[in-house]
Amino acid sequence: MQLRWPFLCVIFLLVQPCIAAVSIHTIEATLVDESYVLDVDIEYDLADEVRDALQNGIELHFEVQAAVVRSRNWMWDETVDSVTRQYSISYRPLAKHYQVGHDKSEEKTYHKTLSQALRAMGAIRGWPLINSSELIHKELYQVRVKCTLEVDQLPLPLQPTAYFSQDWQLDADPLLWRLIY
Amino acid sequence: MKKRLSLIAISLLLALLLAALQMASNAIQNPQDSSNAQYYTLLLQVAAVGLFFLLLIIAGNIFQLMLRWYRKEPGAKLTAKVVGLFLVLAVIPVVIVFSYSVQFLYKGIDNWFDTQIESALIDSLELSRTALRIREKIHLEQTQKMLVNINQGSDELIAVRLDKLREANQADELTLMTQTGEIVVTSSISSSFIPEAVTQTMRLAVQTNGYLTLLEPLKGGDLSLRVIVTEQVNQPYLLQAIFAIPKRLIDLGDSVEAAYEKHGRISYMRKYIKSNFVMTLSLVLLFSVFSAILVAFIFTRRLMEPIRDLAKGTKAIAEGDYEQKIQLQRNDDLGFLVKSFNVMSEKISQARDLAEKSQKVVEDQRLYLESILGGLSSGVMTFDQHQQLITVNVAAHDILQVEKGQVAISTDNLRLNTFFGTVMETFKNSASEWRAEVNLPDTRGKQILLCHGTELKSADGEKTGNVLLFDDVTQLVQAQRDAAWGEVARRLAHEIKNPLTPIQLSAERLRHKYLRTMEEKEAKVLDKATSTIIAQVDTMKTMVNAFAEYAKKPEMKKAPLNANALMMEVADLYQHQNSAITVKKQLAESLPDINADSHQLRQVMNNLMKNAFEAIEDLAQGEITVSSAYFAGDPCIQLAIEDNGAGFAEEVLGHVFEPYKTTKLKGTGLGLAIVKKIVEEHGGDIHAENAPQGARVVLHLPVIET
Repeated sequence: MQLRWPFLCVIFLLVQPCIAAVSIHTIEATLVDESYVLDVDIEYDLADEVRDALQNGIELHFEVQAAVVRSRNWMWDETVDSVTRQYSISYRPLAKHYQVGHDKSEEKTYHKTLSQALRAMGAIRGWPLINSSELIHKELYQVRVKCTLEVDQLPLPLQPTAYFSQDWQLDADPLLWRLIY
Repeated sequence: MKKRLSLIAISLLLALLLAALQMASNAIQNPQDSSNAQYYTLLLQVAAVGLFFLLLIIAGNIFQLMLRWYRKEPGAKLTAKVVGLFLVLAVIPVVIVFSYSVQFLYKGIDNWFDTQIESALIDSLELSRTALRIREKIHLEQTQKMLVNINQGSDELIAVRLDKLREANQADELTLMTQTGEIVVTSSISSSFIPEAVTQTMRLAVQTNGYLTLLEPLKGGDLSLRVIVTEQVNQPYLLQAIFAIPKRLIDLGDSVEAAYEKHGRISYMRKYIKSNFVMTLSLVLLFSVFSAILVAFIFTRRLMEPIRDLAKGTKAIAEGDYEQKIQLQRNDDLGFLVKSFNVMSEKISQARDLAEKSQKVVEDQRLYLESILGGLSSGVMTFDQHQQLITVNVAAHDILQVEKGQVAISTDNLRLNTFFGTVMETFKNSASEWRAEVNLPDTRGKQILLCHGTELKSADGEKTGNVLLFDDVTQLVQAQRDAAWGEVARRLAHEIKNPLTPIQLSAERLRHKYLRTMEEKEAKVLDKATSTIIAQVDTMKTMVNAFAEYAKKPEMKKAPLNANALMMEVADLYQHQNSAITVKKQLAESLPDINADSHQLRQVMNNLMKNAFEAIEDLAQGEITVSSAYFAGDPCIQLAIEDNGAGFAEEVLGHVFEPYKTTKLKGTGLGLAIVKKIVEEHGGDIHAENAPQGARVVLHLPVIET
């Protein structure tokens, strides 16, 4: 059975079904003191396989990227600015709680249940996006938010599986928000 | 260059696969180390793609091999055999090693996870948790007691009492707050402190259960216990106490947790580790097999190259191309073989050149001989020892008057039969060398051939055949005969003419002197006798003069002459001599001039016309045709006079132009001999033949060369 691997790799690379277990629910950008801040709600829906891995001490890293894109009719869109945030979630067996961290900082939050932890990780509030001075007045912009699982951060033996198994396809489709300054 | 490139590509692929294998084994030893992790998957993918291309190359090679097999090209079978052998040699050990490796891998990895250790880890984790729970319980009871204590005291003393209680209970922080979360009073171990915030969720949990314990890390990384309690019935305050967990307990707990986590993680990942190993090993296996096949192909191609060239070379030599040279610089056995082949083909080529050269020499000699034979005026024939005809030259055809290629020993040609009959008989009966004269019947009479036969001998003196050399001596004999006649005539004329005049004079004198004196009777006799003598001497003189004329070398006065005019003149002369005879003219429209003595030629024509006239005198409807003809390019014009008489008798035909061969009652018998002489002196020839009706005499006279 294992012998099929190298061939399947190639085939999977070519035809990868898009089933998003992670989805971005809402985006809202508001102008606060001449700079836009972003509220994003991401729903992390993990497959049993992933939950199992999490339960067994595998730490998951997600990257959320928000980009401000100016739509242009006659050329490809221009990315004005983009910001990223890293989130991580892991299970602490001793205290039996889930630990959510972001941007590699020491600050971590603890949650008794996985769903609480995922909700906490998915609710991003007041994320400074861009200074309004960088935007052109009355021009149409789009805020594009996407969320990806950082497979590279997984333990090495898990990586090939994470690349090619459907359960591990945890990249969210990008969501757009129209922004007119 | 191409080979080197493919070799580099294969080595690169091998390096990639080995790197992937190394990484997989590293990953098992240090699951946490992910320094090269991002390359691992990429490596595997590149290796898989590389293998895929390797497979494509091999498929192409196999396809080519099959094509060559079906075309029955040399070397295809050997290539297939070598590839098969390589495959078997490579696959069997590799598959054995592979299956054992996989088996050991599975067992080995499973053996890492001792169930006792696992349960010990779980137990120790549980122990740690229990220790923490006991501490939680103690601190919860302490805090509840403190809240009771606080509620019993007055407000002024709360701050002081809080400090005392905190110190007494060894809490890090004590905060009294209302149900809405407003801080009433707080006390902390550190001087500059901000009380830990209480969230609404926490307050809600406290209001429901009456208490909340929360194990959480402090800012410094140490673990702390937060306890929030409230009175059971209608109490306005919440008390939050934060206790530091002893460092020793935290360290032990952390260590247990870390060990458990690590164990759990590896245990969880073992199926992935196994699959990774198997996958990488499979890639290596495939690589070994593929590269063995490819190397087999490359190796056999290298091996087959000179063999194929040799096969091609031998085929070319078999087809007669001896210039084949195989370009190969190798110092092994095949190189030696190729060198030997080249030497062989060169030697064959030299031998062929030599053979060609000698063949050419033979051919040259043959041509040389042929041209000599062709140039000979004598006829030459060669026969083998079985008397079969081998060679006949051109002159032989001309002499025998047959078309080229028509000479054969047994044929229905009367002349050839006569010729070969005589010759073969002579060959059989004569010694090695003989000479003989052969007479053949001819349209113009008789052809005389002088034959000379010799034996052909090989280098060792054995008889291999015969050579026959023959010449047409008819004309020579004729000329000799003519010359003899001329000489006879001249002598006769000279010898006879001299005494004739004295005889005549003597007879006249006798007559003159004795006729008158004699008696009449005697005188009559004398008169008759002398008259007869005189008359016969006269006749004799005429005859002698004719002889002299024949023997005389005439003086020629040649000038350009149109033969047509002469023919017309002669024809007109005879036109009206006899009403029973008509003279027809068939003259060529344009006849080139000939160089001739007009007087002599007219004599010739007159003679011939006269003969023709005499031949048909007695016929009721006599007809004479004079004709002239010329074919462009011919060296001669042709003049002919034909009558419709009885023709020449067969036995006379060959001798018509010889002196004293006449069918006429009168005449000297020298007429046609003189005609022939004149014609020959003009460089022409004359012959007589029997036309379908009557006789015909044909002259050929050379035209003036321009």
